[in-house]
Amino acid sequence: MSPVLIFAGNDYLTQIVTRILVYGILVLSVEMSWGQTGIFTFGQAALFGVGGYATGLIATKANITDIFILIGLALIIGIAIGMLISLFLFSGRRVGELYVALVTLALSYICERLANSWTFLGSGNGVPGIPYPSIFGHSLGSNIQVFYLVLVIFILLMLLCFYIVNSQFGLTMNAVRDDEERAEFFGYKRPRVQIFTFILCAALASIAGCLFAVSEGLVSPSMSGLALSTTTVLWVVLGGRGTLFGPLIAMAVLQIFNTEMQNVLPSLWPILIGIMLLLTMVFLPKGLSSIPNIIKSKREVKTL
Amino acid sequence: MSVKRNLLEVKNVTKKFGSLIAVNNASLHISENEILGLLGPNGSGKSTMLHAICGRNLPTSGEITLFDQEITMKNPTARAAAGMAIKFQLARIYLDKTVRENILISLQAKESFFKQIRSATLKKHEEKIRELATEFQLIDYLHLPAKQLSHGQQQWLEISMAVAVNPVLLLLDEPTAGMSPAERKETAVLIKKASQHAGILIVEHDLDFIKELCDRISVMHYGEIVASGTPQEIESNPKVREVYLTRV
Amino acid sequence: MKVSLFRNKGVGKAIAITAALVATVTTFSFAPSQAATPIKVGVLTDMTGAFGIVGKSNLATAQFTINEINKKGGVLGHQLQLVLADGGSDPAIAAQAASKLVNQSHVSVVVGGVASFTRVAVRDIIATRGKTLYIWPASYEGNECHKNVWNTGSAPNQQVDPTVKYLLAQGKKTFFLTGSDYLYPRNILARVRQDVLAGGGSIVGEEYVPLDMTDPSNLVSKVLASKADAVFEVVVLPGTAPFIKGIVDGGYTGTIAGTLFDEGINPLIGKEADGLIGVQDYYGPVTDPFSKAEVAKFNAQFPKAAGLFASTFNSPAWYRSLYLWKAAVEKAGSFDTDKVNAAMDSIGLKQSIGGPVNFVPGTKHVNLTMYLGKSNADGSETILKNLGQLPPYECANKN
Repeated sequence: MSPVLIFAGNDYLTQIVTRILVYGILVLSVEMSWGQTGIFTFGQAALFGVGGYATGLIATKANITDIFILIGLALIIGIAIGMLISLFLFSGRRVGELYVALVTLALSYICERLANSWTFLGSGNGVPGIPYPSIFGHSLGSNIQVFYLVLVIFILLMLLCFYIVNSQFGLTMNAVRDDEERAEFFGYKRPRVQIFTFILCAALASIAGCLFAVSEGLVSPSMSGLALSTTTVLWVVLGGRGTLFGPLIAMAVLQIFNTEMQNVLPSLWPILIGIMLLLTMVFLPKGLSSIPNIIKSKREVKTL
Repeated sequence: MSVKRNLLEVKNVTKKFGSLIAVNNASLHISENEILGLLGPNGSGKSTMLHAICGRNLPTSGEITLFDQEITMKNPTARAAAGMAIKFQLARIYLDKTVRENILISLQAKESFFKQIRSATLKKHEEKIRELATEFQLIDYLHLPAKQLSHGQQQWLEISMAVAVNPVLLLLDEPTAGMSPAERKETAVLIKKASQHAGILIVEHDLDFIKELCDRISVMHYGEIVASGTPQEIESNPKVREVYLTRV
Repeated sequence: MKVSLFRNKGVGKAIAITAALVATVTTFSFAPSQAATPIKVGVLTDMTGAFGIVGKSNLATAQFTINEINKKGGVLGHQLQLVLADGGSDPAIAAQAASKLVNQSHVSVVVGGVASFTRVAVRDIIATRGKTLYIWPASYEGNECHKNVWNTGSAPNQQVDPTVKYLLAQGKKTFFLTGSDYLYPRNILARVRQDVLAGGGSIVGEEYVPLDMTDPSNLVSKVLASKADAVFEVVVLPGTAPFIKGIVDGGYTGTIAGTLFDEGINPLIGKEADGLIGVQDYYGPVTDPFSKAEVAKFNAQFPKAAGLFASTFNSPAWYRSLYLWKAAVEKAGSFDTDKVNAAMDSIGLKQSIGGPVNFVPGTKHVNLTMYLGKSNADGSETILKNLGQLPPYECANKN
C-alpha cells in the first residue's frame, strides 16, 4: 500500500511520520558516534540546530529553496563545525568519555543561548515561514511530497550507515569504542578514527536539521538545545548502544507515544520516561533490544 | 652475535612516579631474532620497564631506540608503525568480537579508512587469518566471540594478533600466566617460531619457563638491572640467587 | 464535557488511524455535512512546562467563554466544542499540537499561544499551510501582520506610550532600561527608548540579561550606581522577583515601571511590588459593571482558577478573542476561513471584559481600553487612570 493511502490525506499523520524519519537520521548520528565509536556526544542536537538554522536563514533571507543547495550548504557548515570540535577534542592525547560529553554538552548550551539571544537568529522566536523545498525547480507543495523527499534521503543515509557499520571500518570504529588504548597499540590512528566519525556524524545531524527545517517550516532554539541532546542519548540508551536499528525503533515508539501521553498524563509522562531510562540503565545496560538475546541465552543455559 | 644488528636499545631509562623511583637507570638491548627474558619478582619494576618500552608510560629520562630510530617519547600508534607489537599480561582482546574479527582488527590496523569502508582487504586477510588460526589452534573457533574461549586460548589469540602483522619487536607480558603445563609447552614452541622473524622481549617472574626459551636474561630488582647474561650464567649468579631465587 | 477533553485522546488516536485506513478502502469523496454538528474551536495553550500556570488560567477562561456562548445558542446555531492542545511551553511540541488541531481535528479556528515563540512556531502550520484562522491572544512585541492571524492582545505602544508619558509627567528625567535577552524585551525597550527621547528624557543605561538569570546582583549594582529616576524593566520570570527585590532592598528610591505587573505576577514578587507602575488592558478593580459581573461569574464557576483571571495571563484577551470571532462569523454568515477573515478586519464588541474593543481595519490589532495601574504591597493593583481606548500602531498603521 502506498503511503498516500495509509495517510489518507491526514496531514497530521504525514507530519508525525516525517518527523520520525528526520529524527531517525539524527538518532543514526548519535548511534554512529556513541554506539559504534564510543564518542559520548551530547552535541548532535547542536549540529542539528546548526543545519536547521542554516537552512532556515538561507531559505527565508536568500529565497533559495532548492533542496540540493540547502542540504549542501547545511552540510558544509555542519562539517566545518564538526571538524573544529573534533580536532579540538581528539587530536591530542586520549580524553575521557566524560570530557567529551561535557564539551559537547557545552556546545549545545552555547548554540541554544546564541539562538535565544541573537537577533539575526530570531532571538528566541526562531526562524518561521520556511517555504516548502523544490527539486530541479519543481516546488514540493504539500506535506506528502516532503514526506517522500525525507523518506528517500532517510533510506539512503540508513543504507550508508548500515554499509559502513558492516564494513571493515565498522570493525575499526568498534575497536576504538571497546578499547581505545588497545587499538593504538595495534597501530590504529585513534584520533583520525574519532575525528572522521565525528565529522561523518556532524554531517548526518546537519542534514537532519536541514530536513527538519523544510518539513516543519520553522526552526527554534530548542532544536539545538540541551533537552533534545539528552533525548537523543536517551533514544540510544533505550534502543541499545551498538545496534543500528534499536535506537531507531526506540525513537519511533517514544515519538508516537509522546504526543498521546502528553495529553493523557501530562505531568506523569516525563517522570515515567525518567524511570524507564533508569531501569534500562540498571537492568538492561545494552538496551531494550538486548531482551531477545537475554531470553535466548537463558534458554541455552537451561538446556545445558 | 656481533654480526646481528641491535634491534632494541634501552639506555639509562629512569621512571619516577612522584618521589618513587620505579625504574632506575636501567639499560638493555635486544638483537634481531633474539629472545630476551626480563625476570624479576612482583614490584621489581619490570612492568614499568615494559610500559616505558611500549609507550604506555613514557620514561622520565633515558633513551629508547628501535632500529636506530629514537622512539622514547613516541605514542603507541607510532611505535606500532615502527614494527612493535604487544601482548598484555591480562589478554586485552575484543571479547564481544569473534576470533576472526579480532585477528582482522590487528591485520587492518594501518590501512586507510577508504579501503576499510570498501572492505577492500577482507579477502586478502582471510587467508592470513586462517593460517594464524591454524597455527594457534583456533581454527574451529573463528566464528565464536572471544569471550567464549578458554583462558589459554584467549592468550593465544592475543599472541596471534600480535604476530599477525609480522612485527620486528614482540613484547610479551607473562605470556603463559594461568596456562596448564601442556599449554605452556605449546606456547614456548609458538614463541620460538615467532622469533624467526622478530626480536622478542618476555617479561616473567618464572625462571623455569624462560630459561629454556631465552637467549639471554636480565634480572630486575628494586628498579635496577642487577644481572644480565645467558640462562646458565643467571642461574649460577650468586647475586640473583640471593635477591630472587631464594624467595621462590 | 470538560473532563472528557483529557480522556478520549488515546482512544481517539487509535480510532483516527483505523478510520483513516477504512477511509482509504471506502471512498475519497466523503464530505461531512455541517448541519447541527458542533463546531470545533482549537484551544492551544501550555498546560505543562514553564507556563503551566498560564495554561490553567487560559483553559478555564476558554471553557468559561465557550460555555457562555453555547448557553446563548452557540454560533450560527452550532454549539462550540472545545478541543484542547498542549503546547508544552516548547515550540516543537506546540507545532505538533497545532498540526493535530488543524490537520486531524479540523478545527474552525485556533486561539492561543502563551509565548511569542509559540505563535511563530504554529503560525504557518495553522494559517499558511493549514489555511485556518488563528487568533493570538497575548500582549507581545508587535510586528505580526500575517494575513490569517489576528492579534487581540496589546501592542507595545498601547502599554509603553502611556507608561512613559506618566513617568515623564512625574518629573522623571533619567531612565535605566533592562530586560531579558530576547525579542520581546528588546522590542518593548526600543519603544521605551523612542518615547523617552521624544519626551525629552535621557537613557542612562540599557542592559540585557540571560533568559534564565536568577542572580541579578551585577545588574542590581549597575542600576543603583546609575541613580536613574526611573527603571523600565522587562526582566521575565524567574529573574523578575530577585531583580526587583535586589534594587528595592538596595535602597533604590526611583520609580520602577514595566509591562508585566498585575495581580497575576505581583504575588511572585512579594511586598517589594509596592509602587510598581504599568499599563494593562484589565486590573482587578475595574469598575464597569459588565466586567465585574463576568469576572465574578468566572470565579464562581471555576473556583480552582479563581484569581487566575489576570491581564498578564491574557485572560481578557482570550475572552474577547472568542467573542470577536463569534461576531465575525455571524457577520460573515459562514465559518469559511476567507469569509470570516474578511469580516474580522473591522469587527468590534460594545462590551467585553476590560472595556469596549474593536479591530482597526488594516492593522490586524485592536483598539483597546487600557488602564494605568500601580501595584500594592499585598499584590493588588490600584487603577490610577482609565486611559480609554488606545489605537495600535501596527501593520498598516505603523508608527
